[in-house]
Amino acid sequence: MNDQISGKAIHILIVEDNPGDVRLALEALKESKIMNTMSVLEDGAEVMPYLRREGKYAKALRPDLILLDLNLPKKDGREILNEIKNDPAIMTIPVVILTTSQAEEDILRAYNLHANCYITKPVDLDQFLTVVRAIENFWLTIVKLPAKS
Amino acid sequence: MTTDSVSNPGIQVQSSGRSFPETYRLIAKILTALTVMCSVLVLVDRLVFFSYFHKILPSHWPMKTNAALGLLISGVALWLRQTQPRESRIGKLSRYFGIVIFGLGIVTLYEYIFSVELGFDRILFELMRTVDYFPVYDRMAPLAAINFLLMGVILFLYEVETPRVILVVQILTFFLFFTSLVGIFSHVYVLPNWFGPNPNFLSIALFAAILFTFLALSVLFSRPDKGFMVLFSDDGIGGSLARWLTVFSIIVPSILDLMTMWGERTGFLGDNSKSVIDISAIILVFTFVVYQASNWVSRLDGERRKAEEVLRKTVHELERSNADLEQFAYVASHDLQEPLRMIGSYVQLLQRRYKGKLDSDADDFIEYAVNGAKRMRNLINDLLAYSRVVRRRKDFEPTSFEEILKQVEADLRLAVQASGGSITHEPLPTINADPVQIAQVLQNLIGNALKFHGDRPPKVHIEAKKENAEWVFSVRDNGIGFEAQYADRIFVIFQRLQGGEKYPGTGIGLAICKKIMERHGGRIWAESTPGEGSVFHFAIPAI
Repeated sequence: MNDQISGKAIHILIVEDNPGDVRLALEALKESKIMNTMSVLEDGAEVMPYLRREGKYAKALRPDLILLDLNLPKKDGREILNEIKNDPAIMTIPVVILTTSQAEEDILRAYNLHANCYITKPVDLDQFLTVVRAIENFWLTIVKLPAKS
Repeated sequence: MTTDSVSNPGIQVQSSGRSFPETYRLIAKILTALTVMCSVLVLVDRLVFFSYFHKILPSHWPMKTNAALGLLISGVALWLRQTQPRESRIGKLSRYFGIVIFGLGIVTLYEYIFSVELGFDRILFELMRTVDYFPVYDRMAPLAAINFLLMGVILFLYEVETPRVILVVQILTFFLFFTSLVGIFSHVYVLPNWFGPNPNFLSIALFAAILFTFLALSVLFSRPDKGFMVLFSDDGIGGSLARWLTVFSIIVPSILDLMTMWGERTGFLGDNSKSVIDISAIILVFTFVVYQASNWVSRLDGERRKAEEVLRKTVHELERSNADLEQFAYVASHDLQEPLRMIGSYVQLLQRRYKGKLDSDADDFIEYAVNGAKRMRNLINDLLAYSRVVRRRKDFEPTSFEEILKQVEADLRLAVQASGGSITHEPLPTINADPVQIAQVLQNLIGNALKFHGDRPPKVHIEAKKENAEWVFSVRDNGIGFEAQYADRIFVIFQRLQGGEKYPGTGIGLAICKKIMERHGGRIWAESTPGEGSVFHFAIPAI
């Protein structure tokens, strides 16, 4: 908890149902220079309780960045995005949509729901690693975000 | 490009015997020959036997010598037309014969109208004047003169083969046929009761009237594949309807009327009952004909509607299955990407982390797996691009090919520089098309031209020509080319002629071009000489 306040460690929430993708993201972030901790949720329905620290997530860390997949079991990524961006307590957390979909309608819809950015997962490993690091670099070191409450 | 003719299985084609046009042409020649023979016979009879012929074929009105001569000239002219080649000099004589015939008719009519006697009718045959009935006249009947007028025009116009003139000739011929029939009927009704000193308007010789019908039928039958005769030569139901109804409507009223007249003359039928019976019988007969014809048409109509329904269903099915296929291709390639990404990424991760740490076999195997995954990724991307041709379509808009080419050239600038080649073009038009897709076609074709070059630096030249209702574009190169036998195969998805590392690719570009052209209602094809270069053509309808 202290790390978080001092800003040394960064906490990233990955919402992704495919363990392969989760692992890839973890592998990419593992090689990162930024001190970070990661939480992974595979079930869409768990995201809002987690962010609101309800039930078993009472002690959950507030993430600095959310990597959100669109196609999830139980609760769709689009719904989750909508709920996050309508909740004043968490709406300032940057949400990066990281998905396989290249469909125009998905992209448009995500931005309409105030996604902070939309990224299509690259098929090539090197590109994927580059993208994950770029996300991390951009959102966690370049961008100035409001202070955590 | 092959154009397969589609034969309609519903129409029966006469497999044995002559076709209608052949039969008609034969009939035409026989009729012409008969006319010539008969008119010669009449003339010889007049000149040599002093009308013996008239005695064995009695008629109230004998054929005049100049009418016989006119029929002979007409018959010979028609015979020349029907047997000599169109451009031959002898064949063209018929036109002058036509003028002579026309002159014969007009002078005779002039004599009638202004009541003058030019002596024209007796110049040649003064000595042969053997007519006992009206010694003053050796002049043909006005009706015969009108027939010669018509025949003259017909012969004069016969060699002009434009559709409109042919139709005019056929209509005139139909009139000739009609006036000749009037002449024949006049022998049944008018002339037997005519005892005036001057010839009646209709006093054409029966034999002459018959020969005129021969001539008229001969003209009609000699060109069975032109004008309204096309219908009579038709093998289908329309043709037989036309043939039967025409024969029927000429023969039935004639026979009916002859019968009632015979009844009247023999006293079997009382006063005026002939008309009553005639009219009733004709109504009866034609009601039957109309019923039969309508029945025929109605049956055909039913069949047509059924066929239309089947066609509509088939089109609907096809559209649906086409849409399904496109959806399938998109979904399959889209969903395939997900597991492929896993395979590719983790094999690559293996390679990164464990290269050189396992044995050399393992390194090889991983290498093969990585390459396989990459190739598959390219294929899937291409498949997606291919299915996008239909999925991501835009409405057609006026598209300047010059502008599009400029964009494409800019995009290909690096490739052009790397190959040391050049792109040139003629002025290009503006056509209604999907600009994004047209750019894709040009990019693919020019890209190929730059890619498949031999030792020489590539030279690409683009031009457009308007041919009939479409614009044909050509992209010409001086590259390695291909053998003619592969000209169709190169447009099939994932079909390649060049493999390996020198010319990488999946073989999607031309398949996409073909699909885009199909969407534009156009076509694409190629020709080439191996080692010298290729030309790719594509044609788009010019609005």
